[in-house]
Amino acid sequence: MTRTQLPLVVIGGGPAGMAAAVEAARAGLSCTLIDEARSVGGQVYRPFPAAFRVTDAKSLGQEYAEGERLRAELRDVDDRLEIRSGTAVPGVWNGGRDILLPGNDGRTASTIHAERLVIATGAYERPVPFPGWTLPGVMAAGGAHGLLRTMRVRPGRRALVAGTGPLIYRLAQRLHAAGVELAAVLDAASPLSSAAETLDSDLAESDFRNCQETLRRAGVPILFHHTIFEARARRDDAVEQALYGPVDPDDWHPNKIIRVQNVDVDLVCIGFGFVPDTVLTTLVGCRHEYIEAAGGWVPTRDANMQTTIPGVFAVGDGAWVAGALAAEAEGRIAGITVAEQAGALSAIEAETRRRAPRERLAALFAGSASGACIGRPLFRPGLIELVTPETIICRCEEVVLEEIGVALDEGARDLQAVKLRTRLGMGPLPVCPQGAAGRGLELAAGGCDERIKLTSACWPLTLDYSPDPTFPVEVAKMQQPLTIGRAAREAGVNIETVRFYERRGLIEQPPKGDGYRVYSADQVARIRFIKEAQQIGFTLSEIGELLTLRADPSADCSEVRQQAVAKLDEVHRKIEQLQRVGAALETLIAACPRHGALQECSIMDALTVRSGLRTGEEKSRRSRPRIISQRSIR
Amino acid sequence: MTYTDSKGRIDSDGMIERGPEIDIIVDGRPLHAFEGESVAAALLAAKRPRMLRLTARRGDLRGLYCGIGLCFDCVMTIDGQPGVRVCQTEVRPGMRIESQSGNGTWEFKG
Repeated sequence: MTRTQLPLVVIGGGPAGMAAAVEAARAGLSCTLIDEARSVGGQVYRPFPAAFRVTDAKSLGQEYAEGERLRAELRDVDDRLEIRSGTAVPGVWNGGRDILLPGNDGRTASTIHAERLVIATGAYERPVPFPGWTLPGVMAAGGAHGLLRTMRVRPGRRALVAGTGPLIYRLAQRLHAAGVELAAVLDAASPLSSAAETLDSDLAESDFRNCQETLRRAGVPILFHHTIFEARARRDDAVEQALYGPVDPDDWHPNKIIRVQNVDVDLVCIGFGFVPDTVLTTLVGCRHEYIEAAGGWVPTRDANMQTTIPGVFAVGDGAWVAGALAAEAEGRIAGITVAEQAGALSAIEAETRRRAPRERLAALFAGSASGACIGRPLFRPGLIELVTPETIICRCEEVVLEEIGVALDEGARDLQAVKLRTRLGMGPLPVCPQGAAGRGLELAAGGCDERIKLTSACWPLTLDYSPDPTFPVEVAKMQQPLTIGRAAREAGVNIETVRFYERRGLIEQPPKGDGYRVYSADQVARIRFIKEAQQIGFTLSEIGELLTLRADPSADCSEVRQQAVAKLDEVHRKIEQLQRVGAALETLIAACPRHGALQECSIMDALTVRSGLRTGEEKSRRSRPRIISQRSIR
Repeated sequence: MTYTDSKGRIDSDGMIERGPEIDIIVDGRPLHAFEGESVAAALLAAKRPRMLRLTARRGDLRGLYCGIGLCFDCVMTIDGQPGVRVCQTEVRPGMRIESQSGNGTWEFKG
């Protein structure tokens, strides 16, 4: 059998993949573009179904126009381009040279061979588990958006939108325009950061403000520092009620004790940003690194989008979540470089062609107000506390948090071991080796049960699909950020206590890192010290002195001893005092007749006489029976 | 009995015209749909339960979740083939769509 080597295979027909194919084909290279969808465009530039007719293209907005422009560019090079639509790639081997494709009959498969490979598989919505998130009617924001935009179908009648970032406002506005009633829009972030954390460069800040303004005028409540806590189905087969409430402004830890609200809704849309889909780059064996701003684990790339494997490129949201415009620029750079490597372009010509997309990319990342914040993480660690032991973590395999805890109890010490015991992240189909939405959640959990505390340890390293399944739980634990919630838990106090210590100046408030404060192990030790000292009986001001001594290198132990001796004297004085109190009470109790009206109570009389409290018969008569009635209730 | 349909469809806004109307069969009942629509869209537009399947392990109800072909929560049995993602499948005239329990069962022809 002869082995046909295709010069270039591009996997993924979104803006990044389309642009890569266009540039390579323009330079004269034959190109095969494989796309899972029925027609190219990706999620953002998804075209209308062929059977639908566009009657007014101008009114469809800029996104539609951008998609059409890229599709037109593809048509211009169609003599050098083969598009395989409706084809999902189940596997890539041999350093990206062998690509497995399913046959049209759905039962067979074949392998194609490529000299160079561009992986442009995009991102998926970050799954954020909470009780009830698997109920019908709870949808990813992008899925609901797609139904409205492309299918022109309402995903529900009355909706709650929760998450953060500009896209939830855009979805809310579209739902409103389509006649879906909106119960509320819940934004876990603050008004300011939500405006700044413009994930998608396509959405200008003004556009974002317009969305908010439209919603406000329509009377839709927009609640900042709030999120969904739970979705419930009462009788029906789908969500009927949603519970929501405030979250900590720093780490978005849900405050489940106060002000939990509920609303009747039949649709809950969740949008907490995107996670790069790195399944194929992982299968090929590219090196990955964890970059929070990029959306999680991403392949390491050079300036021309080449991964650590020569001839294998990664572009678009699957390599760094930055939106469609950045994806297109990256795709162009990769396509030009492929042509250069294949000898279709001279080094000088390639460099000239790369200049424009490179400038574009730099501008998107640095220039505009929205671009400056591309890929800011739209998830904070406190959200993990939404999960209860019964909450499903892995949607595909229906694994609940408690089961992960059991696996850890039984000795599982890395992701692979947990996976083997629980089927966590296995997924139902070979096409989906890590279980799709479930794969994002491998060990996201924690806080609800000491036994499964280890589980939360793996965030953030395993919240997203981890390229290293043997990553040890202990190492992950050491690397987790100590947010105020975690710091408090480690020290055995509650969050309010930490804040109180901060206000009293006993501990320093750490600076905000990625939007939330991260505490050091030293600070946790200090909190524990304060708590211990308080339990022994030191007052907060005394503790303050002790802490000063602790920090003072010239201080010696005699000063601490002095303080301790003084404290001990005080304790002895208190014991003496309490002993006197005890003796007095014994005398009073001995004199008590044990029955009769309260007016004749010898204990009350003695106390009244001793305190000199006699403010008129009327008042004492009225108040005494009330005391009795209150006590008799108990 | 036909499902009350079209309630969920956004009225023509002058920008888009749907494809020709066709009939599909959902759990044995006829349902109107429009060519070009995904099965998921046709089912959501109709006033029918939003549950699409029962899970294999716990028997939980699931519906449409990610909407982009990733999560496999919306799988149903289509023309005898189980495990088909309805968000990624276009309606065809006469298509038979059935709610799936667990992994479903294959229906072999001939």
